[in-house]
Amino acid sequence: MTDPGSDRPGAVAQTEVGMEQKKVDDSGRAALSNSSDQKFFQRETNVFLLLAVIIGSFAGLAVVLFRITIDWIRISLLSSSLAPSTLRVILVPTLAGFVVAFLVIRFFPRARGSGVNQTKSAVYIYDGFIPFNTVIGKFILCSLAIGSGQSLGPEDPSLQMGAGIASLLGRRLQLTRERLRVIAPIGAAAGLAAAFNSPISAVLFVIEEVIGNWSGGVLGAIVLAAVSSVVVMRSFLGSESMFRIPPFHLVHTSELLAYAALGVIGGLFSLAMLRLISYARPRLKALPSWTHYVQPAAAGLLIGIIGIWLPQTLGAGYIFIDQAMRDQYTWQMLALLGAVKMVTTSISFTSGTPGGMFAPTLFIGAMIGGAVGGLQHLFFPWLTGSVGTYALVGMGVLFAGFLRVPMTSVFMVLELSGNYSIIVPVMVSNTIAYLISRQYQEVPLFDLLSRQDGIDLPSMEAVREESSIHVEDAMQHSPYREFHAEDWLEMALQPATTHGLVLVQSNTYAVEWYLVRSEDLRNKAAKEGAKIPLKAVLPSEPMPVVYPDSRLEEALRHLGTYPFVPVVRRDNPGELEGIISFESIVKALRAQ
Amino acid sequence: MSSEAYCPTCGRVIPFGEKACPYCSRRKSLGLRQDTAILILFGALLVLVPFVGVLVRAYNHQEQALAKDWAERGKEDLRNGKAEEALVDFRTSMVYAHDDSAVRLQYAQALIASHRLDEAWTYLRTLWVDEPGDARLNLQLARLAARLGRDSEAVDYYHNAILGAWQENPAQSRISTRIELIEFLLGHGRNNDAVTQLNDLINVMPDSVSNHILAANLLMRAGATDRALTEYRDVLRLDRNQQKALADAGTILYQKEQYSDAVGYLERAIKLNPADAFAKELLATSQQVLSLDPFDPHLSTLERGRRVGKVFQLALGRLEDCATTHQIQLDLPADEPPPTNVTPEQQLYASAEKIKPSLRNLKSAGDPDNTTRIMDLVSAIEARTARICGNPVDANYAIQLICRKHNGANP
Repeated sequence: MTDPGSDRPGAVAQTEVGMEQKKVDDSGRAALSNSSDQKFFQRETNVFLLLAVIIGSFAGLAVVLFRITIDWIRISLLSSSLAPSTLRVILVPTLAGFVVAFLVIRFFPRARGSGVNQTKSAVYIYDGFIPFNTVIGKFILCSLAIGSGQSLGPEDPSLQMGAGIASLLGRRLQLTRERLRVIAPIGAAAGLAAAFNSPISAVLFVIEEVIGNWSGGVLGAIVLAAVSSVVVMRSFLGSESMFRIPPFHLVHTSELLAYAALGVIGGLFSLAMLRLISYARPRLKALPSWTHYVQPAAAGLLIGIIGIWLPQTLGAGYIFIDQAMRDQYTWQMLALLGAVKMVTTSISFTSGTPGGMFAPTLFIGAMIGGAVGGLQHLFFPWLTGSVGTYALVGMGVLFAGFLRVPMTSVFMVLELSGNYSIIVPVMVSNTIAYLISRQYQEVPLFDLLSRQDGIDLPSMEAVREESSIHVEDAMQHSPYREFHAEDWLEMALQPATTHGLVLVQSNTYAVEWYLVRSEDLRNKAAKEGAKIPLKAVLPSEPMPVVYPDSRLEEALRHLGTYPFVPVVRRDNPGELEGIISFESIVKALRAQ
Repeated sequence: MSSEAYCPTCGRVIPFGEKACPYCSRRKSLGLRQDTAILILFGALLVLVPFVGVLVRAYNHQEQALAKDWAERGKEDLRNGKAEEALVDFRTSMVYAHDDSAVRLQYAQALIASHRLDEAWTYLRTLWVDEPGDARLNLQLARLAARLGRDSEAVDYYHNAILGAWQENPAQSRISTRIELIEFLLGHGRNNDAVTQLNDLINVMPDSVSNHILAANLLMRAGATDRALTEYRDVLRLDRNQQKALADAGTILYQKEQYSDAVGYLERAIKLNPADAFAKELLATSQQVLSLDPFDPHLSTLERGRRVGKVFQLALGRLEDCATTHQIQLDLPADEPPPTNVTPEQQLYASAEKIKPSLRNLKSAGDPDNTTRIMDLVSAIEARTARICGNPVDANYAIQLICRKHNGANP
């Protein structure tokens, strides 16, 4: 709006004062607005962290109930004995399989599977939405399946239940879409931490397998939720570890060879199990739909028949992992249990019975590890590692090889054992198992399951390992001449005519780079002559610069305004390394 | 000219027709909703926590009941000799209470009972790693190590058990464990180690008659008679009429050749139990030694001479009786020059015949030099007759003891 009397001097002064006043008012409002926004966001962050604690508490309670329900069902259906009667072992998993199949198909179709890739789907596709119906279904069906002896575990379902609880609370609190998307992993970490009684491993698993990166904004909430869920769980079920871990000390480095052998064997077992599941699951799914009602029952029957001779393979099997660590089995028995459990778990999982893979993975790993330890004692009795230690390392090996979560696998063993001296054997074994599995099975388990379900989720392994392009990968040699601000204008005229522009460096206060076009030089020379310093033609703003290690995004941010961005050394901003432009970036991306 | 209203909170323009800033009022209402929701969630937690607590308590009770039930079944099976069944029972019990050390030990006992000693050893060792200070566990390990012939490890575990933590009656348990260790050491001929342990045991045992008797008996078995005698004296200090202590103390003193003191204890022991034949026999011998011993420093020269004479006569008489029984010729043939094939008996008899006249003078016989010379001959005669005719009895046995006491030689 123009003031009609603004051409008068007084009016000008008045208008300037008025504009100034408006500027002050605007800036005041802006300040007010910024402060209000900050308070709002600060408040929402606080609410979010508080919510993480509440989610953790609810997840902890849910996991406590889940665990005692599984045990109660096991005692009620299979009896309290470690070796239930033949009739029960045959009938209970079979009949429970029918019930589970019916409930999954009719009422809780989303409760199928382990729960990890379902949670990932919720994060990446459904903005963190997990229907609460799924939580209820997961609770009932997994309790029944695991309690009746199906060879599955409670951890992955706990992860999904935690995520479902978090999703429900987030929706009820009307959180923003961004917050809702990250709240599911927070609940997942809480559920897993309580089920596994190890908060660090749970946090790492969620970061490694669900989120895929270390996001500072979510990390605090994830840790808070995991810790609060573990606190709640321990206050009800006690703080004792799931397994009584034998002490460890590496007396001779030659023992690392035995752990390396364990890594190789564990890697091969992981590969075999991955192949078994990847082969059988789609084929069983492709069978006529009526067979889906009987597949869990058939799986239960097979597992029951095996359970007559090897009752250790029924259910999650934590008791027997503990017994393996206490050296209560011969190495032959341990090897047999590891191999049979691999088969029973594959049968249970591929039949569509809901349940997790963590516990069976730990079971198989412990048995294989124990068998390797037993063999080592047989052939190299002077080596000191106990069978229990090998069983412990074996658990990490299968985690690294089968679930393909190398960091979690290392920290899980450390957290369970509470002994950092075990880290070297664990790293040796886990790395070997991971590399073998990765070499011969390109797609990790959870990505494979998602793809078999027709969902292409981002592979966390690929995200972890993808190489990012930096400025140094895309920069090119500068074709432009460089001058100093003190140089005469006439020196720059010819080069500017050739390339259209020149780069001028000014060291007045700090090293700054300026872009000067040839027509500006020519105009200035025409007006004031060529015997003037270049600083007389410098534009008001210097050019932005980037460094060779800068991310491409930094350069791209400026490329709309400038045709290129100078790349300078961090330790000497006056030295031009090159330039980066749209063309050079596209070229580098194509070459990758 | 329309005047625009600005929100005093955020500075944004409030649209025409609106009374309040829609942006801020939305935040406010959202904030209120969140606050209320969080309060409701906390309330729900407060309701859920006791509910879950009740369920968990019920579950824990069920677990404890199952653990107890299976442990009882295991004990019953173990009592009935069904070790394999007991193993399964105890293993099941540990599923529901895997920290119950009593059940873990019973499981180990079941392993031992089913002759799976190596497995039991490995299992106990694994338990030990968790609880190296558990006294009962160490005791089990010690017993198993002893059974497996791992002697040094057995001793170590016994020591651990003595120093370890006992849940019930620790003082008495430590004493009984140390006694078991002493028995083990005595059984393996490690008497010195046993005596060391006994010294420690005596220091910690309550001052009672039964404890002193026990210690004395063990000391006797370890060959520490002096320490045993002290223990018997402690017994008698507490109860003067402990017949066994009196008899044993008398026996020790008899063995230590302190016949005079032995007589005192033995007489009191026989008075309390006249049927104690062994004590009677020792008393009789002791009294004979005391009545025949010519080396008693309190004797007069005449009395010593008389005793020397009596002892000599008894020894010579045994030599003659022995020679008669075995048809040994004692007299030397009256050949000139004397024969070269003289028997030891003939030599001893000839020496005795040579000494005989000097015994007529009691004063001369009581002379210390003569006494020693005569008693040396007596000692040689007793030794020879014992070899030919067997151990002496009665007075001759007393003479043998006198000779042994004063010569230190084996007659």
